[in-house]
Amino acid sequence: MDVFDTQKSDDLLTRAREVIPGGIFGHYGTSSSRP
Amino acid sequence: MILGYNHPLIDEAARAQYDKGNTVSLASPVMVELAELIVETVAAADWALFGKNGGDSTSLAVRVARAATNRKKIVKIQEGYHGVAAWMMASMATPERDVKGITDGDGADMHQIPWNDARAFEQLINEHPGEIACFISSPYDHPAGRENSLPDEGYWSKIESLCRQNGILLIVDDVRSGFRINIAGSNVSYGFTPDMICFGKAIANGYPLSALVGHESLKKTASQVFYTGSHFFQAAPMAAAKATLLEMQKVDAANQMTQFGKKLNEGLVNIASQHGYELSATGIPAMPYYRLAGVSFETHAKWIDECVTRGVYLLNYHNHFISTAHDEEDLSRTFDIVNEAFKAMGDPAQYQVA
Repeated sequence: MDVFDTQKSDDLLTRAREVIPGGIFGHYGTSSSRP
Repeated sequence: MILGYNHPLIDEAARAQYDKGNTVSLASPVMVELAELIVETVAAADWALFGKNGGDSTSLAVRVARAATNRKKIVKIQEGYHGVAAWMMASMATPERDVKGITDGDGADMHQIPWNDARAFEQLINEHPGEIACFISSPYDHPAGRENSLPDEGYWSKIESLCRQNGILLIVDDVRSGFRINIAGSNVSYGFTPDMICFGKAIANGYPLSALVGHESLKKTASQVFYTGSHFFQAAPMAAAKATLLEMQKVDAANQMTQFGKKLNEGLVNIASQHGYELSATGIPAMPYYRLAGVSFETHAKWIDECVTRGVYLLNYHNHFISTAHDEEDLSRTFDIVNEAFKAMGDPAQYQVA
């Protein structure tokens, strides 16, 4: 089974913020209250 | 299925991702890779957000537009289709067409203008200064049930200019036509730049995925809009989309489909003519809409039935979708079948309407 190298997480999170509004949590509306 | 059903490369990419994980607790790395590829590929894209259906991307686009402008009103094209959310379906309600489950409130801030009518847009803007959040439209008019229509010369330049002058966000719904005119966005071929583009359908060659892309200036607002779903982060469709985009680039899919569509259209029109019928083929070659001219809809549907019965799946009310899997053998077989279908229809004189 593939295991993700969590050392790469920081890089991915940084890259995500470049191309996804709010990064990987962008769909949740970072400044909005959640139901 | 822009690359054809069961494309081995796409299915293998999805399968490999399924082995790693599909619906998992958080986004998978492939989501970032896909967003990067989309930003690199689509000219107007500085960011991407993902959903499942095209209606997710159009509804999110409208939400972002309203949030960014602090305005309520949405302008769309008459008979323009952008999914089944209440805001959209409210625009389909007429005295003759009862749309169930919507309210007057759902449609209160919806306005519609005729396609190719920039003057109507300007008039609407003048009637509602500072109230319009966005104008959403497909890059050309491809309604169901009637002939499709390409943009007039200068139309999109005028629309874009009106939007910029009045603080209105311009949204292109490329859910159907996306990647069929230009992989960088249909707008590129029509010479304008939207604020946001909605993609869906072909983006993952049939795997469930949609995407909203947009300008950098909207990134912060987009990050503030809560719009998600339990399956939005599924990784396998994203892996499929990444493979689909790469393959479309490799084979120059838009050009390939356009060339095939031109041959298909020319052939069908000629065959119709040989039998005394007039067939119109409208819209873009990669997504043609067919209609027998001068006859009733019932007669047109009868011809379609004759084709379907003989093994060519055509639609009597909707545009068709060419794929890169369509080849010369398909063309030849289609022509043979359509020829037989017209023979079965007989003398066109019996069907002519005044």
